Amino acid sequence: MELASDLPDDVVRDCLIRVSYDQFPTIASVCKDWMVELQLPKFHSLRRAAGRTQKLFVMAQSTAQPGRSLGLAKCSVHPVHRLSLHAPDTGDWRELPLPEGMSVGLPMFCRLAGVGSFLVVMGGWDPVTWKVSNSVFVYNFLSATWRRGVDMPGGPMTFFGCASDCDGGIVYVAGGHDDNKTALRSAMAYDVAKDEWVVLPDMARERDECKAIFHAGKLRVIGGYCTDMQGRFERSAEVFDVGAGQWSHVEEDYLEAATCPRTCVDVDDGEVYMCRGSDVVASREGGKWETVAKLPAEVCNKAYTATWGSKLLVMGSAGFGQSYVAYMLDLRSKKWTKLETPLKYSGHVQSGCYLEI
Amino acid sequence: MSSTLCCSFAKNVTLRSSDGQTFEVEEAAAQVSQTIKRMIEDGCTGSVIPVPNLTGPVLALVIEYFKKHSPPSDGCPTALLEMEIKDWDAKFVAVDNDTLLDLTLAAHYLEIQGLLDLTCHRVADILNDNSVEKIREIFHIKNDFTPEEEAEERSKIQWAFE
Repeated sequence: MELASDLPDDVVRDCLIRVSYDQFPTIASVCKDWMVELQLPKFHSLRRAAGRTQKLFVMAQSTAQPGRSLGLAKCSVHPVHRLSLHAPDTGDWRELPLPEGMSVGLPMFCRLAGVGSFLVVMGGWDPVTWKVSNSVFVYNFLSATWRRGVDMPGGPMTFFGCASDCDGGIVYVAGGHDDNKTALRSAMAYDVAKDEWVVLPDMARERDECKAIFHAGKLRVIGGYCTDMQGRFERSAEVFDVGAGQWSHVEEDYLEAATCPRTCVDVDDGEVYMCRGSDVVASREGGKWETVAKLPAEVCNKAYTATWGSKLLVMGSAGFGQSYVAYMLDLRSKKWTKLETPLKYSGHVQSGCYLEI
Repeated sequence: MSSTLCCSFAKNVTLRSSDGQTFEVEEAAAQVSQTIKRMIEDGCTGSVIPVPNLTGPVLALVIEYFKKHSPPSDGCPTALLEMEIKDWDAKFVAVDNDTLLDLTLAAHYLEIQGLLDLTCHRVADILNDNSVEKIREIFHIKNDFTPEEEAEERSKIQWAFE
């Protein structure tokens, strides 16, 4: 293979791994060899080893700008959701294109997962008909193209938990509810490259509005509630061991308080953090949770949390109708930094995911 | 006595480019290149060291780099010096594209990791800032897509990022 007529291949590769992710579609169009090169797992592992990967958060965010129009009128208008992208290292915010046919915005309450260079958008309500869907859309950052994936098995569902194993190429989905508002015990796995769903064994409990996190070959599904307990969250969690292909016993007292588990996130070392009340708490040995920091008042109405390395991102607002802003907590120094959040990106965040490209 | 005198002067080596130009440079400075360092260690210092992959003008530039990056004789580089070198580096690679490619190749052949990092970074900046056509022109890359494939790719990019 000859990557450029003037330079040896490994020198060209050394240059290409430093190119910004948003220029990959251009790079791939230069010649066939470059197109192939960008798709090689080796290229991405070299980029990672050289510390050249870029950290990206993608969020399903309302285009409504809180605080701009006061009064009740805004509550009667259905907000439109689009994909916002934030790169914390550069402070860059931008909007990602939506798939064709989504001109009215993303499905409401759709879920996002980041897998390698792919963004997977799953489920949600049609923003016009409010019909619950089980559709799957996959965005490829290398070619800047969308494709329609195979629908999630088991019919329409929403408010499920989802998590990806990042570089393994699999997205896990668990719980949620069907279009009759019946809470689900089901779980499934999506292989992004193969475009194939595999149905996993059911969980022990129904878990509507649960949270899923993935760490070291294990999928932990936290909290949620069964059909009869509408909105009354439980404290338990259960773990799926991917290697063994089965669920563990139910961890009854996993959460300290019966609360919405939406803000649970896992850090590289396997610790789980969550925003609880006005605190950030971390899971410790023996099932204890410890307060690690106070939430800044500006994000106390938290909408979305994420972690990368030893950093925790919280996107929230000071209260109903207020602008959303992003804060970053350094988990080592316990210091908060307010991230510059342009007005265009100050809408409510419904879900999000993290990618390293 | 004579040996003490000898060591108080920096030892020089002579480098010869592909087009026969010769350059005298301090041995310590030339050893910024791992390739030249090995040649010196192998005992090639007695005569002229041939650098057949580099033309005179490129070798002259590389020697500028050697001089700036030779290890300081009086201990550790200060923070101020490091900043000055960083500024110098940035100016050093702010050259026309063909010279940049020549310097990149030179850094590769002569195993000058610092210069290779510097030039690759600059090349990546150019890749980040240019269109498909411009990139092909700068790097002398042949477009091997069919017109149909090309049209499809183009529609993707226009749509990609606003």
